Amino acid sequence: MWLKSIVALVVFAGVVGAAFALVPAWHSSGGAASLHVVRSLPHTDHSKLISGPFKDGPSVTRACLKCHPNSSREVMHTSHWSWAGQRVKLPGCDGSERIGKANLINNFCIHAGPNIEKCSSCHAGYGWHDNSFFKNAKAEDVDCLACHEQTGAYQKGLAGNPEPGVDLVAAARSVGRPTRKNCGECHFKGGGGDAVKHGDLDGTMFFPKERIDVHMGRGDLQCVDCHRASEHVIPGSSMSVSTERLERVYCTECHGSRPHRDDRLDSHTATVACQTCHIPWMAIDAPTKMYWDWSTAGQDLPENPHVYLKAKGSFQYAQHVRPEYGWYNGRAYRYLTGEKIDPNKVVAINRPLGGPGDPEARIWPFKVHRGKQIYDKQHLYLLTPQTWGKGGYWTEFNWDKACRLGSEATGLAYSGEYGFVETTMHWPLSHMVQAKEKSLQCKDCHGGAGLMNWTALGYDGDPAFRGDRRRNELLRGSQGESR
Amino acid sequence: MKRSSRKWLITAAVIAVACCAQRRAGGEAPGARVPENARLESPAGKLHPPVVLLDLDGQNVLKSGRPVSTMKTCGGCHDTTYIAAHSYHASLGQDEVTLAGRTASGRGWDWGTGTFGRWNPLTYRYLSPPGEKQLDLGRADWVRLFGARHVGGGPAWWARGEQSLVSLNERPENDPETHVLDPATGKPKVWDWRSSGGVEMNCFLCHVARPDNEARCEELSQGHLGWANTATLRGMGIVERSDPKAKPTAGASVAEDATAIGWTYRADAFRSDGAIESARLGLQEPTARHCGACHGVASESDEPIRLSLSLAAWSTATKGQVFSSQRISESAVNLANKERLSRPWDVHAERMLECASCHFSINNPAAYEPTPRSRPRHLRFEPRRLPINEYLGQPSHQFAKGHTSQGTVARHLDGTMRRCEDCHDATAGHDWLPYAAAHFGRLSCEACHVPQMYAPAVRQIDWTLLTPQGEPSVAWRGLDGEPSDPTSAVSGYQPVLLPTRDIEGRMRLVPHNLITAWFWVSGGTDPRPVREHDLRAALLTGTGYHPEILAALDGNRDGQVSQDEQRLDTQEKVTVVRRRLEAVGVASPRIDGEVQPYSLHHGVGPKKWATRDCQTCHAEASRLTEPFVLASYRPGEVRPRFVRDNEVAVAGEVAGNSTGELVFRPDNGRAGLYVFGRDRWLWVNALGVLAVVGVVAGVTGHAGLRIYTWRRRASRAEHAGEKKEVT
Repeated sequence: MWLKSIVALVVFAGVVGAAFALVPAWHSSGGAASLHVVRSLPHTDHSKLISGPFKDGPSVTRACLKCHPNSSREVMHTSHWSWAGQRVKLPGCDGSERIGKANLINNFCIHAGPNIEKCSSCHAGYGWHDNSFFKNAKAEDVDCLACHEQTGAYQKGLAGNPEPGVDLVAAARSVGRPTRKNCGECHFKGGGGDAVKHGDLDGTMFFPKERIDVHMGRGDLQCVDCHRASEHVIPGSSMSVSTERLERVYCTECHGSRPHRDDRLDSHTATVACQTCHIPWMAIDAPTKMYWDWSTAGQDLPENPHVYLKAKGSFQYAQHVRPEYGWYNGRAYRYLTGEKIDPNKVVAINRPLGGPGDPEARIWPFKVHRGKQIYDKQHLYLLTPQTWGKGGYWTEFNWDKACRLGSEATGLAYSGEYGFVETTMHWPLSHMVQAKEKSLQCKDCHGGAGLMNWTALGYDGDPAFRGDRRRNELLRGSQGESR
Repeated sequence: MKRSSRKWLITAAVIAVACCAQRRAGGEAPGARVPENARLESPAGKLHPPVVLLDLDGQNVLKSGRPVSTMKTCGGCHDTTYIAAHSYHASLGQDEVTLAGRTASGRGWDWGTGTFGRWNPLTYRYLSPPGEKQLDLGRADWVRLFGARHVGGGPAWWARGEQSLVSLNERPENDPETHVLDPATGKPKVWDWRSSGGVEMNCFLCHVARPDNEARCEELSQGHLGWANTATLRGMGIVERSDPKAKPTAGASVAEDATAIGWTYRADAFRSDGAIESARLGLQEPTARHCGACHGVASESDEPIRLSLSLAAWSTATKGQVFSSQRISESAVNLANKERLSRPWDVHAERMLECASCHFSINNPAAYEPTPRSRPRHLRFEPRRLPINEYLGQPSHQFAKGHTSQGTVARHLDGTMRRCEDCHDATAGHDWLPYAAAHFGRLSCEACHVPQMYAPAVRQIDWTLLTPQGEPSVAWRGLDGEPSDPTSAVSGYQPVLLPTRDIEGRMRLVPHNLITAWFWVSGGTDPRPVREHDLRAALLTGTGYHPEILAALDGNRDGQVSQDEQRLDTQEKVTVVRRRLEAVGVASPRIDGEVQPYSLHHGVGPKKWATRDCQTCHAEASRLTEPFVLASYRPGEVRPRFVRDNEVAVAGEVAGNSTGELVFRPDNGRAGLYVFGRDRWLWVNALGVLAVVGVVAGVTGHAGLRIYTWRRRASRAEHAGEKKEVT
């Protein structure tokens, strides 16, 4: 009995001791921030499942469809296939149209329509030579390899067909979950070259350091870790081709709406997009195009791809640039092909909507690309010249001919009289995200000569001293308040 | 105040309110960066009426060509007499002087509490008190030497007896009011105040957008005191040198060299009526940059911060303090592990606080709120405020101040500033901290929130032996290399925590830098630091060390004095220097040493950079008792004493360590602290063991008794059962 008692005491002491030992440390560990991404399971190894040989791209797709019979149908319902998205009302008529990359004008290479054989090298399909493509397209015309092959040697050429010499068997056997390489081949090279178009997407993100993008650098996140597809519909939309708030990827999906453990910082989330503070710079390592003047093209001047090209005109590039800031509620005005312009004013090809009185709007960072591009002096709309190919401007340096050919392709009438007009395009930034150690600090925006032009944003002055939108009477009601 | 002035001020206030109420229509594109001169165009700048720059006679300087009088110019609307009389920045303790040796510092020669009268071994020159037998620093030289960190007015304008310096008649030969030491002869010479002019309180230095402090300091050092304030306006493009090629002639008086050293007013800066638009002056409230001109590195720009390590950046030199929102990692400082230092130099600067946010004018109705210490306990808020027009007329330039270990001037204003607890509710942010009340009772906020200084600070200064260039030896802590070399490796330093009584009487640990100084003192009953002039005369010739000194220092007889030889580390060297000092007339020279504590209240980091790890303090190698190096050697084996005019309790001992350094070893016991995990007190340990043994014995005894009684009951019951069966 005595022995039992002693054993009981020892057990009691052991339990108490273990309890103390197992109590977690009361101070925070202060370790690296955890990443909130659910890692995917390893992709099935296809190297033994695919035999080949394949004579062309569609033959690869046919092999894919044997096991993935729904995939092509799914892809053909996405904007990656159709290059068309939301339906909007057409200017000056009762009709409506789906708008997208295929039929909208931008102020880079202007319009894909007349140049589609070249532009479609970034299309997730095979054989887009002309406007008849979609009428005749079949399931096997979907390009699975563009997004799934992992050899790194797969290259698409004219009309989206594989470049001659590509080892299609190797590419097909390598397929896996899309990586930054797959997405970046098109999205990092928008506008005709690396870093040209976006400002926050460029070739430095294939294998980025943390200082380029904390998600991809520190956590080695792939694009599809955030842009998680369902039935091949990949969420996320560019303001350059959409006007509504479609299915988007939001920082708060992982980080929550009050992620800072600091009331002062968290109070900003009602007014300031995460991107505003966490993307303090764009084009961190690779210069991006900030200005493109088509009107100077065609001259025999010394050429420099970052300054002047006879085929394209004059450029201005900039690296490590502060974004411009404006209100954005997720919706945008979009210039539609054929819409009238006032050539005496700068034409906004797109423009973020929202303002200080809109509870859904937040201050966002933008790359604003400014340009000077061709328009019809009689019809007073932007023109759609053919630049690539036979008769295109890059070949013959003849604007009139280029516009006539372009007009035939897009159906937009051309009067024969053209001029050049200043244009702008806004590109909201969401990549090149910086960790808190590199993000904007209070003083970068508030007090003295900060980044924000508060009066232009609608405030009476610096809200750090004058209060938030509600106190400034810019916003009435309960939405959009700081707290 | 004149009725018209008051009327104007009221009108101005009304306009200010109206301006604030009016919403300005935004015509600019969103995102366009605010122009750099935005401050010049601020409503406050527009509100101020045009300024007519007047000279001492009240004439427009554009016509007279004479120096600007700030008192006359600004005094048209603001009560500049009141302002200058209510500013310890101007008086620097002139209103608190006493007799030499009667101050609390423990120095036998201090006769004031501020820079005017309180000696500091870092600046060394001793301002001779009235009636001093031997002149060291006359008042005019004090202005030239200390004027770079003085806003003017006070001792730079007023002599003893409230007589203006420019009206002084010549006094007896040694009178420091009218004489300065001639460096060539070592004899007093007359200073012509009428020729040099005095320095009025310089409104421009703190209130124009871009004051030219360099030009001001140059005028001061050259003795052109009357032009110093005018030179400040060069930064605003209002004045330029009469002849840009002509540099001021050293020692030349204004009267002698007026055309060459004078300044010309740029007519294009003035309106046709002779006034200047306030926007041109960029009139504004002082920013950290303005304060930093005298107090240390304070940067507001994106330009990577470079540390200019000199006493001109006083708070940086003495404490390693940098006031800037810039991330340390983005600075140009050659700091160890800099890429990991993503914190700002000071989180308050990063959160847009200016110096004036805490150190505001004590009658500013917008800023001043009595602290809980200074208002009746039943009041949470003091609604009575000075009307804005009265404040604009008589803004006190006594700025709310704290309670530091090194600042002894205007102690009556200690505790008027907003302290940490006046803005922060510590209980709301420390729910993770066990025994929070115990920590708050024993640790100042700074103890944890200023755990490390990232800029170097002076560690020791040795005036017992000058370098061949006539400079003292200065050593910095947290710096490997020369302070003037931007490639010198900076590591910063961990301050020492000293128990310090705060304004509320609590004895708490406060982070400090300790600066140790050695110097020669002359005299017996009336000790004085040996004059720099006498030191030079004793130790140096025109080309280097005096032969006797060279022979004593040159231990290896190579004809050179190396860095290691350049110190009085043997009694023989001390004897030779003492003999040389006596030879030049210094009576009874002896080496003295002192340690001046500098308490740290800036350089606060974001919370994640605060000390949070229990092991930092509660471990064998506790940060609380870590030895703090005072000096790398000890001239003449003299043990330095702590300067006494502060609330620091020197709980610890000064001793040498194994490498020959002199260190301060804090002692928790003498500080009245018992630190769990660090301290081993025998009786506490015994008590603990007894408690454990007692508990075990109690539990065991109790359990044993229970078992015993249970067994006994069982035995009885069994016995009773047997009996029953038998019956």
